[in-house]
Amino acid sequence: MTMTTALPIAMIPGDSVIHRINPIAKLVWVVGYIVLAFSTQNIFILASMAVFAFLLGIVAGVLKPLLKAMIILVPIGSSLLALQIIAPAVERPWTLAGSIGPLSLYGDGLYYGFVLLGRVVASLIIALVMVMTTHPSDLFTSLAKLKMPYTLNFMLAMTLQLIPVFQREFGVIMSAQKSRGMKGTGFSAVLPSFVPVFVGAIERVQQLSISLESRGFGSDGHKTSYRQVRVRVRDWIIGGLGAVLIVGLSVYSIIRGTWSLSGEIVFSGAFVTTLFAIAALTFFGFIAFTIIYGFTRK
Amino acid sequence: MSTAPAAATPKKSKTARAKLPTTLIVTLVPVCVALNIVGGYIASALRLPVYLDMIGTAISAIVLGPWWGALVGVLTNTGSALISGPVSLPFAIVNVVGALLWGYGVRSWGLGRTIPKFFLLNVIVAVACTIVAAPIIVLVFGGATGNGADALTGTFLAVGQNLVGSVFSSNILTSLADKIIGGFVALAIIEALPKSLTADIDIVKATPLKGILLAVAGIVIGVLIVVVFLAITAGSGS
Repeated sequence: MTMTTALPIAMIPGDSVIHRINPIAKLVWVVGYIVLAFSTQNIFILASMAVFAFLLGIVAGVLKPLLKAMIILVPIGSSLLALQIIAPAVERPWTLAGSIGPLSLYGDGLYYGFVLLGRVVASLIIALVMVMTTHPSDLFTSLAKLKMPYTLNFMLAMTLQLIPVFQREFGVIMSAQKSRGMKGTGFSAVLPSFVPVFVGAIERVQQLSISLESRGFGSDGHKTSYRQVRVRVRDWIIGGLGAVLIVGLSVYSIIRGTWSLSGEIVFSGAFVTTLFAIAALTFFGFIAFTIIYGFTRK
Repeated sequence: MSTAPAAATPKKSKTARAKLPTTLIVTLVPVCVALNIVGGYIASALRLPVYLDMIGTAISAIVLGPWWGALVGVLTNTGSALISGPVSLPFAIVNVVGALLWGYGVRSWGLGRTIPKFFLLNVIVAVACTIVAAPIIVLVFGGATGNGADALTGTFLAVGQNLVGSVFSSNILTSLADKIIGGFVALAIIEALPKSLTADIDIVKATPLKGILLAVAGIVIGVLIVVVFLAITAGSGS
């Protein structure tokens, strides 16, 4: 089992202007993006948000890992569009745009599919840009300054540190089991791989617990951090600007009843049918590729 | 590790469970969270058709208690939001529901005493998780999950089932397989844990996975027949 397919977790080191922004200011943007994305149904706003977040990614110099991490959107995005075209998650009446075999295709569904996809894409890109440009310790130091409970902060930080450790351990255990003749795939491999990884990990807890105890975990007093995070005027401006823009647009959208443009934008029947065919083919193609790749890979 | 009880002694409290020291819980929770995330990764590495990303939740809910399990659930989705984007955040509720049912089921309702009872508990967890997950999948992803089950959702839609019903029908199938297998893997892991952690839990000994897999196949096929029947009835009714 190769360990090259690690989770796209790591921060990409760099010194771009995005890297230097305070983590909290970035967090304001991420939270704001999610709030705005879910309070509007205006595809132009959603598309601009996605494009802007993408541009931030380019400025930060994380374009390549960003694109790599976005591959997960291919199956879910294509399936989302295809399902929405045949069954819009909005109230009836729906406008019929065409049909393929027994399936009726709806234009409203395509609009709403774009809305849902826009939300997912925009919030995913901004969150990935933030994760890729922020050192986890800086984020947790900043959260501690915001009075986030120390224990909770500690648990979240420790989780992120443990994931690669356990992944590595799984690789070692799989190699050991395979050298004993175990099959590397399928249900027969579940217990021989899960049990040693999990039990080993939980047994390690006792050592970790003792080392925490010996360092006086939970004691009162001022906690210091090796990494210092400064808040500059620039960070206040960026955070404030983000908050104002996003709150403003969200409130305006809500006043206009989610600002949906599904009435104004009418897709032609041919467009809806073609897009449905492309989305369905992409989805099945991706699934087929994963299955074939999975079975042929050694 | 025979030194663990020594660490436990300074933090004695009146409740039975509090004999586990705070530091042990504070470290066990993130380990279970990381195992949830890595569990999903292992399942895909073994090319299994199930997720197995709630085993850490099940273990913590059964060993530490339902609300610790719920915390593991929330932290799992918060942690994966930091890894793969915030779209997984709403599914924290699913994780919490699973944790509470596993925790209370084994610790308060005695559903871990025999294999059939534990099997039933996992079926309950699967159904509850699907009831919670289906509306989230519809609201956030318009019914899509990005895996092969979406083809099934599309088929249910084609025969005339509504969107929530279709998502529920296809999700219950994967959920049943996932939670039952996950529950029994958790059982095998709990059995292998140090006795200091599992001494006062009333839970049955683990059983070989082969029998469970057959039972899972049976129940999934049974439910498939029911949901197909319901979809056809809904289609002809509308």
